[in-house]
Amino acid sequence: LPPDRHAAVAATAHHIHSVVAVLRELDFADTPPAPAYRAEQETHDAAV
Amino acid sequence: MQPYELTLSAAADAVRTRRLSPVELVESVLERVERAEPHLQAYATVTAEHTRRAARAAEDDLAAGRHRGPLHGIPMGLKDLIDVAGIATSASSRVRAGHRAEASSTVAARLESGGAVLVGKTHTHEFAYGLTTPQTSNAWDTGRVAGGSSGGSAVAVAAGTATFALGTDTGGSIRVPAALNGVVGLKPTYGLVPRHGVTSLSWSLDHVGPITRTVEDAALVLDTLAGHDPRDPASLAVPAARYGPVAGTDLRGLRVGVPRNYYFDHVDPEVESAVRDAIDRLEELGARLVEVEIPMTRYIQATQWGLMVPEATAYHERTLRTVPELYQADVRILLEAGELMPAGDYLRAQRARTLMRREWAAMLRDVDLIAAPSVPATAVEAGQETITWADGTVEGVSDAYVRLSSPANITGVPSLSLPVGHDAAGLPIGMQLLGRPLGERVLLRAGHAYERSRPARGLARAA
Repeated sequence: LPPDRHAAVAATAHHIHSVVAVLRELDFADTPPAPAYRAEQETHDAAV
Repeated sequence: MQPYELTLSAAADAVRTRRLSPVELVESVLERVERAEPHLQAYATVTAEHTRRAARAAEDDLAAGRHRGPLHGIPMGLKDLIDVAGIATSASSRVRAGHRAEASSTVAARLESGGAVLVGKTHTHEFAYGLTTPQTSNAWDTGRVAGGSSGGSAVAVAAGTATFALGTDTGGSIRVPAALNGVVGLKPTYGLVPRHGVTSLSWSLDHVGPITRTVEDAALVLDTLAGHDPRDPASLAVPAARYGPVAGTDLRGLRVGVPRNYYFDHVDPEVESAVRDAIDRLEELGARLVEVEIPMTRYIQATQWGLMVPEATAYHERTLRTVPELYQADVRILLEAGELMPAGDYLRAQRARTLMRREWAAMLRDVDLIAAPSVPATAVEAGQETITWADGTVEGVSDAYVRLSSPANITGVPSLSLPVGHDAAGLPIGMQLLGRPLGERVLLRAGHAYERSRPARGLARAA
């Protein structure tokens, strides 16, 4: 990142961080992340 | 009435019964493009020569007795993130200068085989990363924003420069401009419409869907778009369903959820009043209103950003290194800042989405759909950056426009935005109907019933 962009990018990153930080309040226990894909469906597709 | 003013259903009927030829319809739309485009700039590219050729081919097919269905000979606009073989997919960005799509996206190929005729590629907020589409003007007031990111598609449909269009929706990018321009926008269930060949903003939130003048038209386009494609890893392998034509206006037995929190907070009074009137109309048509509590609202924006910001940055990683100066300033800074988000934040957002999907599924067991405003305010003036609410709270325009639409992206539930009136300045107001996963037919039925109970809407006349 060029030096002249550091301050502006850091400010935006800080703002984004302040928004997403609220997720730290949640107790996820064993909750897994939402899946991006399902392996069995791809296998099924390959058979088709 | 000129052919460019016809709804898709009316045009399809006229073409099928040979009262209107595809060439007449396309010429009328192209003429409208010539008059309106200088004021609206809905299109990144108009493919007039290709369009006329395709219209003649559609007419030859009809003469030979080959009718491909309701989209045969119908002029359409495709958001310029959707690949069409041999044409640039500009993403309305200088980063894509000189681009040429090698092959057509799944949706473009399906529409083409359904006989639809491409008028051109419509403007998007650069790479779909924004809610205003600054190149394009609102179809009702050229001094106001089109909304975005599918601004060009919504404006083209509202102004009569396309009979229907496709948009993409990652946080509201179909429904926001549809609402701000007084047209219908459908964000289908996540995975129902394949995204192969469509430039991504955020893989886990992206959807493709129709923008039309009526709910019935949206159903007809969805019929052609929906269906499994293994080249999109999120594509659902569900049995084919028919969405159109939508019949009946009797909503007896339908349970409509009315949110008691979130969806009516920080909403313009004129928007709230029009949406509540529309909900009352659903009740008059037989629906039963049930108050619902929207779950986990404190975490909606955090989850949306936690998913979208790092996914968008990942998509652009290479060009952000090689040609960062070619991005517009607003998009560049978001992409750069995204590099600084830790993996932990992304995973928390993915886990929050699991919780939210679960909670929404529980809420949707008690009702068949939820009715709410699509956006909390009508189209703001171009260049306006914030909205000040009655309690003095100041909110960024983009944050406000995306606030009510992003829950459907996080949870993947379908959402249909339809016009329900105008404010005192004459600007359109939209209501969204949110349903269970794969509940599109319920939304289309309710939306159609509402629409049939109101006088037909005319085209936007700012241009």
